[in-house]
Amino acid sequence: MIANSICVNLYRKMQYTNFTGLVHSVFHNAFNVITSDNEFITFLNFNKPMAPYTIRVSDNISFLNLGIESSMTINFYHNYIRLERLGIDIFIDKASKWDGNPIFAYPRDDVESIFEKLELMKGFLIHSEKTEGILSLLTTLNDKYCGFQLIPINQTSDKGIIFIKERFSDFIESYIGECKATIGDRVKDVVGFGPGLTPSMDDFINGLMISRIYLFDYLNKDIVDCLAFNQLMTEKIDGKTTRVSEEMLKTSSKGEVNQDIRDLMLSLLSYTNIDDYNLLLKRVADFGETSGTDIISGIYIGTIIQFNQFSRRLVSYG
Amino acid sequence: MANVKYNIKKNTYYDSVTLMILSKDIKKKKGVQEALIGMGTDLNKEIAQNLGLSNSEITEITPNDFFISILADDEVEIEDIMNDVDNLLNQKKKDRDNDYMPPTLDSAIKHEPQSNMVLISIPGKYAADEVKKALNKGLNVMLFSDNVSIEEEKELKDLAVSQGLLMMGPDCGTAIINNVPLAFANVVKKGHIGVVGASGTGTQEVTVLIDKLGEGVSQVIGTGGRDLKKEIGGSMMLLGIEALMNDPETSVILLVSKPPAEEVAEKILKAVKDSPKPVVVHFIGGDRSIIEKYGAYPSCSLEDAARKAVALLRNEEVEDFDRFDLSDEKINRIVDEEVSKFAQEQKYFRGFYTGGTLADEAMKLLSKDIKDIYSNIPLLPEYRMKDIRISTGNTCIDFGDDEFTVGKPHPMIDPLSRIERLYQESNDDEMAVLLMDFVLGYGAHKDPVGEMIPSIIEAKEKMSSRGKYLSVIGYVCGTNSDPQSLEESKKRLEEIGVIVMPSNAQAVRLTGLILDKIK
Repeated sequence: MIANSICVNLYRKMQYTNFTGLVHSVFHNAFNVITSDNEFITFLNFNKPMAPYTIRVSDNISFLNLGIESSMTINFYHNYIRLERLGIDIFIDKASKWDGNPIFAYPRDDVESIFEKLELMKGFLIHSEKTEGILSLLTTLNDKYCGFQLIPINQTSDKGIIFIKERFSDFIESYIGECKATIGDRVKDVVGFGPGLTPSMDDFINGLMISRIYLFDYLNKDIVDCLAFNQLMTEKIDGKTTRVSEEMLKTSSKGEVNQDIRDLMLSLLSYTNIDDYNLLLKRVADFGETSGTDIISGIYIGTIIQFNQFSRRLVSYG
Repeated sequence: MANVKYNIKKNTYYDSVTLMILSKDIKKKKGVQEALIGMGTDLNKEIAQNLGLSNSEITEITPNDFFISILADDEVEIEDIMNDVDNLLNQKKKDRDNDYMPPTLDSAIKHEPQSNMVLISIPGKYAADEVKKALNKGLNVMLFSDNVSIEEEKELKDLAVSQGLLMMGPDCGTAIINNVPLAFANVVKKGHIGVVGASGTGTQEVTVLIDKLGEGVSQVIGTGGRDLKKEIGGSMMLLGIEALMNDPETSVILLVSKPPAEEVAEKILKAVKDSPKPVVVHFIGGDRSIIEKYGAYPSCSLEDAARKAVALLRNEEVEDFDRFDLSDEKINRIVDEEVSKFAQEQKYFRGFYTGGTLADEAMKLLSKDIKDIYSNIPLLPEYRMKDIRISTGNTCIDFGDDEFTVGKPHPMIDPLSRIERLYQESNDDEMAVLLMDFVLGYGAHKDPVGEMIPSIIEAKEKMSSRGKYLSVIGYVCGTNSDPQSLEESKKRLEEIGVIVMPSNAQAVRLTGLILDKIK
């Protein structure tokens, strides 16, 4: 098998040393590995967007059908990776290197255009009908915050949502208030909510953190402050959610997200073709059952919060 | 009465799609009042507690464990629910099994035991082992990979010959076996001309022209570009000839290659000497008298080779074709019109090719009149470009050569390097004629013409703004059955003023006439 892309950080690690890992979880389009030094590596099918610490193969292969199973040993060498028991090698020497770091060099769109694109994003979320995830929870914000009068979805009868909504409100308040003392505990109170390998709330927080980083740069605010706050958000999540989700939250707190999410942020904030922007919305929304719309919800709310704090123009916008 | 029923799967992970679908289905089941399905995160466990769906076992699970807990009427059995869950999960798996793509040769053979050919495209240094494995399993091989040493090639081909199997390659880009195009190949009609080619785009060119002339191919066997070197000895071309000789569907054989080593040429020509089937041999730029000595039909271009094969198939008179499809009058009119638009200092041509063999053919045909053609694949060493980024005088570039493709896709797949070069060259006031190929077919870019059109328009406009004229002569190597469509591609080029010729040889010939007149 040949890899067509590899995260540059992982590539560097492989050039530096040989190491071993154990398969953590396997799906049709992805499998995850935890290395002996507790790092988390993901292998993706060719049609999935690149992500931090990930290797993407060049074929359309079902990893489940390959016979890859949890706890199998996997060895990482200089130029290839071997699944010993199956006799499968994945060669990386022709893989292109992918850098997941945030991109801040782009032609910046004006605020009015960004608001127009946020309107499109809002419409997209409302019409997505994926109300099983975080979206119905956002209705709890409607009457509380300026700029959030946006999700005209009927109040949910889902008991899980009813259970979490007060905690969610506390979390959002702490987030908006940039309360360093409480944010870690508030995240701990909501992280891991919902089904799936990356639960709904975690995807939403992922969107919040990534939009925070890009908006700080766009609004010329201090990125160091932003990263420090994001770090506080993730400092108490260990063991509170799935391992996959934990890794995702930690990498996105540093601004590293998968290619499609990064492209969506860039498309939102830069001069862009609206067709391309809509296509990216759709591509991100297609992650999982609700993961994508949960992430977009986080980006939407996160972006509104940043603009709201920067100027008070949202009063007229909302 | 309703009771809590649950099931826990330790260290089991499902993605959200699976869980959402399961969750919806289970909540709909008769007798189920409440259900929670998810990973055992603290929060999900708390929710279970809050909904009255928890117990001591659920409290103990970790975020890496999967659980189902339901509040259901007495008659609902958790085992039945779990059976339904398993069925739903297995159903999903089965649905996706249709996409099964075997990851190893062994699993592929197991999956498709009737297979008799394997196409190998992996990094060159690992390729030889895989080829050996395939040959030892009785499979014919098409080896697309390059960077296989000539010693390995020799060993693999000897092994293939000993087993009567084909080992097409390494660096074999084109083959059509039983009407199935492999790697870079065009969709051509099935017919009775068998081709053995040691050159990728050369083979594409002859097969496309055979198709245009109304005939088709029986088998198209690639050999890899080094097959006719002394070290290899032409073993695959010999095997290919033998296969076509024995193939009842093949009536005429056509061989394409760059000039072979002398002793290899002799071996090849001896093999066709007493052939019961007519054989056309095109050793690009090679000595035709040797070919005639062995009773085969030599040719003066790839187009001529295709025409001769077709003529032989139809029992028509075989003659050299070094003319145009259009009348002399029409050609002269085109030449006069183009020449009349040039500024005085415009005198050179630039050949921007994606097909290496087509570039080579262009230089060979033009070299009768123009000696100083600079290139990255020059006919004479003294005309090797000093810097491949800068054209000098008459320059013909093969953009598919290694120097241009390090770390990048081949220009037949990604035309960017040629687009960028055209932007750069349009600053050159001495450029008069731009000669270009557009290779269609499987493996090629989905729209090579559409990708180039904006840069051609811009180059023409840029030169026009300086009082210059850029004459663009194009050739589209493809058929109407190709995914990109020949006619549509031609039409779009002609709409922006490109003169599209019916073969590479005719495009080159027209370029030669224009250059001759502006000397």
